[in-house]
Amino acid sequence: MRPVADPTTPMQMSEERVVSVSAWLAVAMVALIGIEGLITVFWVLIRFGWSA
Amino acid sequence: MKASTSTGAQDYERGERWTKIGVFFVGSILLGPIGIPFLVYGALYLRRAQMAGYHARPWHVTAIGASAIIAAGGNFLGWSLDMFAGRTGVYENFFAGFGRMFNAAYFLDINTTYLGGTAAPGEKSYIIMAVFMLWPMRLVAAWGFLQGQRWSFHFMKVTAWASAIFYFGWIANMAVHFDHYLGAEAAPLYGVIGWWIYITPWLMEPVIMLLYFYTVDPKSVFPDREFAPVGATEATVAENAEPISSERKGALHG
Repeated sequence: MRPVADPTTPMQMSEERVVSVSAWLAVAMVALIGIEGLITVFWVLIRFGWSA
Repeated sequence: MKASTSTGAQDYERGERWTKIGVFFVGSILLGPIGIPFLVYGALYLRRAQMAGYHARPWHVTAIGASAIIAAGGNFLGWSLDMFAGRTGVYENFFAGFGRMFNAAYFLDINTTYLGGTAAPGEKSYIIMAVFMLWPMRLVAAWGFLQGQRWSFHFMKVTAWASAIFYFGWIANMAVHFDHYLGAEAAPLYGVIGWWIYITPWLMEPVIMLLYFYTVDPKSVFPDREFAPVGATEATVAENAEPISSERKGALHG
């Protein structure tokens, strides 16, 4: 029979680390979304703004 | 930021104000770049309040709550334009341009149906579902989370799963209807690679949220709220509960 997993086994990464990494990823996501907004608006104008 | 004699509470209030203004702009997508300096400015004030010992919301709560509002708000605004305002200048200029570059469902045959906007039936169905149900739920959950409402913790988890399912179905719909989005018929300028580069930051959202909400301890997010102690069983909870009075029992059992 396989042993029952020990619930006291510590996680590979600490809770603080996972929380911090996910929050920084969220910050990176916001920065990328903001930059995409910039690219979309200006690139649409530059690429197509004066074409027929 | 002035090196003044302001208190932690004042810094916190200022940080909150500028963060909210930043979230508003970035969440609008078209004005996105304007919002980033406001967000940074607000974050610096919030950090100063925390350094001064003011009992502020942890920084990760602000980051997660604000990013959820920005992602949901951006989608909500963009797809609301498709839903209600397909025949406007802002839609025809920017969405058609976006469609020619990345996703041809927003370029081929747009505004040829009664509802207007995209003419791809699958895309439109996802838009209707998200604009009327998913993004409003997500915005409410994220706002509640920033306000420290306890119910929002669960609501954020539920809507993160809903977003994951939404994005999966939405991308599957693109694959099934490939010709109209990215294939030979559509031929957007930047092709399949361009599309994946564009969409990846948006797809990150449910992944980040599920990672965060299944890891963080609610007690660290809402430190002033009471939670059942870890390992509490129904028996121990009942043991500590206040006994029900005889009048209350009567009311309960009619």
